[in-house]
Amino acid sequence: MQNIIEINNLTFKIDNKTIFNNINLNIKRGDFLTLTGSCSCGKTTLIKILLGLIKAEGNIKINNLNLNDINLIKIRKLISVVFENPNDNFITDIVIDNLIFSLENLCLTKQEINSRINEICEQLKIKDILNLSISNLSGSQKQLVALAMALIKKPDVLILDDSLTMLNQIKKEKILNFLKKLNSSQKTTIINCTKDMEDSIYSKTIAVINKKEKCIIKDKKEKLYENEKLFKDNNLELPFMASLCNKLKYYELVNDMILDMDKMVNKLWK
Amino acid sequence: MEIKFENVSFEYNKINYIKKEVLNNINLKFKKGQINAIIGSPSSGKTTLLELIDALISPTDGKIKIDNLIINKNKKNLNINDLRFNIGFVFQFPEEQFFNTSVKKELEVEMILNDYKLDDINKRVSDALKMVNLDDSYLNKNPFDLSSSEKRKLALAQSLILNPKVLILDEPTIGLDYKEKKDFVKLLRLLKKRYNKTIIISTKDIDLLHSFVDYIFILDNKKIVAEGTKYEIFKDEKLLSQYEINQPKVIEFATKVLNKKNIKIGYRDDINDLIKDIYRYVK
Repeated sequence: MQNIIEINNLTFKIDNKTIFNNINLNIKRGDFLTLTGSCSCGKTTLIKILLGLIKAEGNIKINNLNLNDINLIKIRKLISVVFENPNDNFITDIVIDNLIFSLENLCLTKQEINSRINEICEQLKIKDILNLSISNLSGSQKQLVALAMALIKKPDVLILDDSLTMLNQIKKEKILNFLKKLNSSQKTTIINCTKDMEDSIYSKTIAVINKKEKCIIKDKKEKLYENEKLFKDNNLELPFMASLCNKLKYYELVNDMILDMDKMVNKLWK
Repeated sequence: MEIKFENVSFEYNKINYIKKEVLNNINLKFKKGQINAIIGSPSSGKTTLLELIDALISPTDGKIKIDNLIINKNKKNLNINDLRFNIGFVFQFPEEQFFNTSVKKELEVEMILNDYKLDDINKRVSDALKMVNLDDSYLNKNPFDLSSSEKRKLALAQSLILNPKVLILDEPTIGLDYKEKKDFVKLLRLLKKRYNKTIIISTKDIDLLHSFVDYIFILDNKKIVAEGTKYEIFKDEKLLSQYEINQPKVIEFATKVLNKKNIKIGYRDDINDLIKDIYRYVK
């Protein structure tokens, strides 16, 4: 399948401190990728480089367009980002105005804007906070609105920068399930940057930024979960089910990676 | 310090003068010298409840007693300085509590304003940084240039610097990785054991919370709906699902796997013990 993001030989330094040294990363169209790594390993920096907010040495192609000043406007139309701190996403004070702002810039008709807002409210269940002021929202509501602002543009690539942190586990699982559906039905490429590896169960592939060697290791999630050392070296905790599986394998109670709890229970008592 | 809520209500004045009640008639008493947690579905008012303790906002009704300090509607007769000296607060977004250009200034500002001795200031600054695993090389950095986890640690150091008796933490583990979370838990245990601090924490990270908390309050729909020790709360699956809170993964799995064969071996919250049990029954 075609690559939507190609990063070749990327090098980036801040004050003589090397953040990335000749890294390569290809992301396929329609992938659901969890980008992870320890604290201050450069996840947010990589996203900023992809958006052209920071300049770095190397070759980056997004949707076959070279990342440079001329293509920047075209590229940014393809990508929606939700930043780490939800307050960084907002333009104005009222929730619905923020949503409309994203769409007015795309020159859509009033009808289309209305229908898209209705659709997103249905999907994320934010109808009752539409007319409130941002300053009166709770942390999790802010993050939902920020996500809505990104999704409403129907982007080709959606990047979440640690932006589901304030939702509780049950709400987060609902949102991740919805994103998974979106990924398979609309073929939206999703990149979820997070340190919470429980999230990675919903994705297809995982890319770990290895802080020591300053390179990126990318593979299918089931395969990567078996490499416990990689996660440990990067201060990451395996998802509960993956670490349970690894332990049960050691006792020879199961043979393969089972990530669903009910299936695991059935398998154990067979 | 003993913190007690007596019939506390709070409502926000919304735009267009629409009022929104967030807390309604709350009565609670935090356990002294222990780690208290407030959990509940998102937007249930956890942050508001914490802000009330630090008198950042004042209750619309009722009062909060902190030893002999009383916070009520008009904060009459309340010595704010006295209160803030005894309470350390870490905000949900650490950026909100920074306003200086270097880490050193950020940490010492409150002590300079209160005429601390210079030796004492320097010692406290380096002690506080050491406690949160940052070193002296950070002293001249700009707080706003730090990564999100470093910001969180700095905010924690800042709240510890005056050696408060009460520590309030609003979502302190967001943005930390696994090792840093473990370090954070270690620090909390140290603060509780050696310094006998009362710690109040609100968090959504149930799996982590379960490893260190003593006493839990569940906040839902403006009221405290349940309270108890962690064993009482976390084993009660029905109660938790009623308020949209997930059970810790270990306990969820233990219940599922043991109930299937009707095995009764009590409360299991350690995964290695559980696996040994399973091994025994399967083989």
